[in-house]
Amino acid sequence: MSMELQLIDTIFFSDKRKNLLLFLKNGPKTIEEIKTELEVSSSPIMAQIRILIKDGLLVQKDDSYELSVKGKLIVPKMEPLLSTFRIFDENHDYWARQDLRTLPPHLLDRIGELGKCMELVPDRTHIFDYPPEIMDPLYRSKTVMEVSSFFRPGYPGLYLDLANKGIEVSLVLERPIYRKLVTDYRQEVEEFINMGNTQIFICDNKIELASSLVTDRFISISMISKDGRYYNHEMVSFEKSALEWGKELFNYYRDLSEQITQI
Amino acid sequence: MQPELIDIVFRSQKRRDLLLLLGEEPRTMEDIKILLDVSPTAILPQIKRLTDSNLVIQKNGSYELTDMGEQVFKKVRSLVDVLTLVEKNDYWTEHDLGGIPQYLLDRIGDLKDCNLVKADPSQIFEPSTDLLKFFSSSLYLMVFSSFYRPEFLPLYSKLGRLESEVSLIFTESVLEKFLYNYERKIRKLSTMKNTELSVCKDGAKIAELIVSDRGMMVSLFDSQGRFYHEYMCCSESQAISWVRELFDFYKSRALKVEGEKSIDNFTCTSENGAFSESLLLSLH
Repeated sequence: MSMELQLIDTIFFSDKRKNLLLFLKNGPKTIEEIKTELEVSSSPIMAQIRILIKDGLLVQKDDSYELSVKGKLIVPKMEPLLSTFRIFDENHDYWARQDLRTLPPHLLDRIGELGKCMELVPDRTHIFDYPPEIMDPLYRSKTVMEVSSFFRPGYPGLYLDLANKGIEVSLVLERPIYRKLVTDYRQEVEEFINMGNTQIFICDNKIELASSLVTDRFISISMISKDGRYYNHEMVSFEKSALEWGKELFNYYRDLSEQITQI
Repeated sequence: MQPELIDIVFRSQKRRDLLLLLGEEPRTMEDIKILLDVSPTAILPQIKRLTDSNLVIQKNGSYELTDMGEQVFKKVRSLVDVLTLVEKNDYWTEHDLGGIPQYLLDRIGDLKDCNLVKADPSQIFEPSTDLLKFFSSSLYLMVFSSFYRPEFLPLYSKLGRLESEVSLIFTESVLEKFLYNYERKIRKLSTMKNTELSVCKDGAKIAELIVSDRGMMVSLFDSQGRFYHEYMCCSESQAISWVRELFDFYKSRALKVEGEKSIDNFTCTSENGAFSESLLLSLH
């Protein structure tokens, strides 16, 4: 039914070749640049370069190597594939367990941009708090954006505290969570809303994620599993592409919400 | 420890085919046997590898992709389409793709089912009857042409009379030549309700595009601008929509020739052979 596809071996089943192709995506490179970037010596990499040239993926121009037309069609498709595979490989059971459809489809398609993630699970005494590993970077952030469909007891105090330290804090909350906050912590919410560096948005759509916290330093998301259950955890990434991804996630929900300027 | 996805998907062609098959829709074992032409004993261990890796799940007697499988499928599909395209033949990589905007190059894998049609050397300058026949009963027809092909005129007129939507883009020299030889016919075409005529600057990097509900054809120049009387064609819906988008790209950059007056502009300039630049929008 399908073709054999000789090139799969060439592009995937040698790390040297794979990394070289991805490196050359940024433009032509000399052999010296290649050796430095990939930390390889001449003869092993030359053997791989010859294979790539023979398969028509690379061409030599003067003293540098660059992707051929064929290479330029193929390599851009390798990157999203490899980054998606990598994120799933690194936390296979986690992603297999979660309901991925709780993410907006256009961001799910780019889930590889989360890059290297680690799952943090709080110990029992701090089961409702953010894990200590992210409290420090949280306080060192300049902006903090959170989307949340559930209520953490720490919310009013934590966010007020962050805002008081001059950090810009924006929150998108589902309406029931907002109501609960107002009922239980009216004074804090009022104080928070009246500050110049804070924003609260109320979302009437279902926020299907448990929560997503994104700052200029890290992203931390928490998801519901396929059987609809939730356990307290944070999936954290510090990579630049992940912060951009997280900002888009926040904006997605913010655009569905209305801003509250008074209680 | 789970094996890496790259090995799960690409170390076995059976597993790769299975993933791509289930990406279309859930399938029963019967479907899989027929569509992949395999025996259950050969395919079951591969299905097991995919279910163990959480890419596939068995539900109500059929196999389907999990959320994770769906993501993996999408990435594999778009890479495999491009690999299929370039491994099938060298047409795309040996021709100048400079006339294709980036957003369509990103989806060039949509053309993977195209086949190369070579001209019969004895008929290289004869009217292309195969193409004429192929497109003759189209419900709509879009043509972009850097060539003067008078043999297509009757087709345009016929489809126009049959009330099929016909949209034509010619380069300025081609339009000039048409007007020189077939002024009445072209004037008539341009006034028909369901036909549209546009003109773009010479030097377009696409030789020819024809697309209709029946299928599509594309021909390109090589990097030196040479044309080899070959074209790529197929009837798959993905390829049809791709070419329609490419046509729309050129149409949005072309000047619509509307009414007698604008035709006059082109006829009078054709005598002294020069065009007023202001008439034409730049292609790029």
